[in-house]
Amino acid sequence: MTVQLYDYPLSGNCFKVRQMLLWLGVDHASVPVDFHPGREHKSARFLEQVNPLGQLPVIDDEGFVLRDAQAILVYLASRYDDARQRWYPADPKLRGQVAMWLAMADEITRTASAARLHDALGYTHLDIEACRRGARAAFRVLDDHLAEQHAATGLRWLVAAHEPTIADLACFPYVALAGEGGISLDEFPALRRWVWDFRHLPGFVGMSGIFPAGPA
Amino acid sequence: MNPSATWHPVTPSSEVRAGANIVAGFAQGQELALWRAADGSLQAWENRCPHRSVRFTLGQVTGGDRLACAYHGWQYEAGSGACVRIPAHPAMPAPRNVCAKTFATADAAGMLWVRLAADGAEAPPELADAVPAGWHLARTLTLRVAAPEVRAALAPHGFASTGTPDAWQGTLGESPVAALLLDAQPQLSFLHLWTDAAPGSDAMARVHRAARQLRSDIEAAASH
Amino acid sequence: MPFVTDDPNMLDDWLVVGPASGLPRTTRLLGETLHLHTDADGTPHALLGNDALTVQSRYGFLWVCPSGRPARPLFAFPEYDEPGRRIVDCGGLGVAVSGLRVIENFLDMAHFPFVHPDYLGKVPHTEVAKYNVEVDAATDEIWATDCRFWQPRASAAHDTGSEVFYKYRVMQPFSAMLYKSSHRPDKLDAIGLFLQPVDDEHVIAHTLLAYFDDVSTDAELIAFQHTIFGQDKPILENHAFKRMPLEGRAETPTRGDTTSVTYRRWLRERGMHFGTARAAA
Repeated sequence: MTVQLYDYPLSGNCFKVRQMLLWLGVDHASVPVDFHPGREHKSARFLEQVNPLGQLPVIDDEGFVLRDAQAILVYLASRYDDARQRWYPADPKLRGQVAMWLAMADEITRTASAARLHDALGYTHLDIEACRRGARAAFRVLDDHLAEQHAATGLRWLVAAHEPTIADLACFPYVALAGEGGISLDEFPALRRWVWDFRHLPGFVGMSGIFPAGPA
Repeated sequence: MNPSATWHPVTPSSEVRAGANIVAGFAQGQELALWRAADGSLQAWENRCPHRSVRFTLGQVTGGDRLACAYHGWQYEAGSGACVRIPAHPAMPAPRNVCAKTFATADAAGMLWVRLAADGAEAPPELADAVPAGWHLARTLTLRVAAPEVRAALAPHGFASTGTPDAWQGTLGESPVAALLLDAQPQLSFLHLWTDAAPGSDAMARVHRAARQLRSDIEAAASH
Repeated sequence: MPFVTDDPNMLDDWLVVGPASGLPRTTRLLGETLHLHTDADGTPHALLGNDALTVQSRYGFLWVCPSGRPARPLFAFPEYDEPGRRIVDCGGLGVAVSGLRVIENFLDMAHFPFVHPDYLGKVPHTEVAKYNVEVDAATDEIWATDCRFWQPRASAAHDTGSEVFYKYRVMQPFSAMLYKSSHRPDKLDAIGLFLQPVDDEHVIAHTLLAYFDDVSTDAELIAFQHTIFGQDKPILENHAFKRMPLEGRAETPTRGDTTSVTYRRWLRERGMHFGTARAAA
């Protein structure tokens, strides 16, 4: 059983799926897509056969095709997580919180990832100042939440649980890569701590641009 | 001149864990890499490897008492900051003249303090009184405002300066609060907020809400 | 007066402004916006406002000489036209640092086990053996030869690997080439790094492969290059000062930094100041 993943190494959204598959112990085969400079994800063939939205990632799990990084995380965690269901907890309140932060992950993509596409991949048509402002607003919400939750309960992940969930994985990469879009994390100390903690989870492999923890 | 004026409250002590993490710190525009050796000894270094100037905060604590740079793995030892290993030349003795720039540190009142001046007064005993005993950290609030403007805004918000410069006492959400101000960067200040409200209590939640409101008020006033 | 610098190393040389395809488009060079297009017969044009700049199309890229008085021809790249080689443009990636630091990183092997673990190097195989660096008197280009470094095998599960041989060449302050063994025993693959200087602290890094490889797809080759470059990016963008110091003692090289020491001296000797830090150490 091997999941096919339409993949690109510099995509934080693809990273979310690669890392989830690793943590769930599920094999995958990457189908490289020439995102840049080829814009293969916007080609007629890709739009017709893989994803009409022209986006990565997309998975094909033995004929079951799904797009959208957050949707893929929900599916993989629901299908392959162990009985503890730590990645996508079943408790209604926790599940509601997960959904809330998955929506935040979309806002992070809309702002911080877009800023990075502008600076790193030359997407000069994007309104870079609006992207950076939006990213800082989203990061402030995250930083406030993490700082206040940690002071109140000692918990350090987005959802009020003792272990990270897909909410953390979904929000993580474009926060960690924010500098590449000209967004500094200096003013978000709780967010910086969360990034450090996430990078040091056992089995974290990172992606190009986010170092895994080296040997001690 | 009060000697404690030269000691900057960069971060709560609990943020920097022995032999584990490296935390970015800021004081008057100086970038710092904060870490502890496995024995708990606090290090505050200029956030810059002397080899090619890459920030130490991308690196790792290694071997319990060394910081390894992320670029070429050069290792620097706690205490002196001296380079002790260059992986590109494992057999070569470490160069004598390569050293991280270190700053004096103090651990007091639950905070980590850093002195930027190479020579200066030792940490004065008043630092230990900056936060009343038994109080809890509510949070570190960051404001996109220069420190002088934060100082000017605190009195109108009911905060009184204590004997220690940049340590203020006031009320947030009906709980007493000690606020330690850090001049981090030209347009960035940190306010470390300590309170007697218990963690997880409604009182603490009210402190948090009031802190966000304080930030809004100060930032809105500064932008006019 | 246009352009953010008066450094003749930049104004009198050929500077890459991106691929010769995908026209018309605008792009940034030395703080200015250029408009690029071609005539029906393929003749390229580069406009700064109403002024036509001196431009040529070579190696699949457009090159502009800002002053219109090029001090020398564009460098030779014989591998580009060599039969059997596959030419792959890996696209331009923006990097927020002085291009001089990007070139220096490209020339460096000591970072392979730390920045590119399991790809180009692996701890504890960190030693950099002595190699040879010369400046070719005829072309004023820097050549580093006899470079070798331990590279892991594709499977990260086993600590096996072998020595890979490299050659490096610096043609311009902002252009370099790397040569490493290919699928053909008698030939080296070439990777060209051509930096477009947007300003003192920003470049667009264009990578061009001239490979002997009939097996990999373009997407696979590009994915690998982007994997490697993406690993360098946070390092490059986290230098505490973005411009390269050519004087003073703020930064200390070691023996394995021979190419970079030569590169910095070569820059000093030609009076480079664009992209450099001139504050005291």
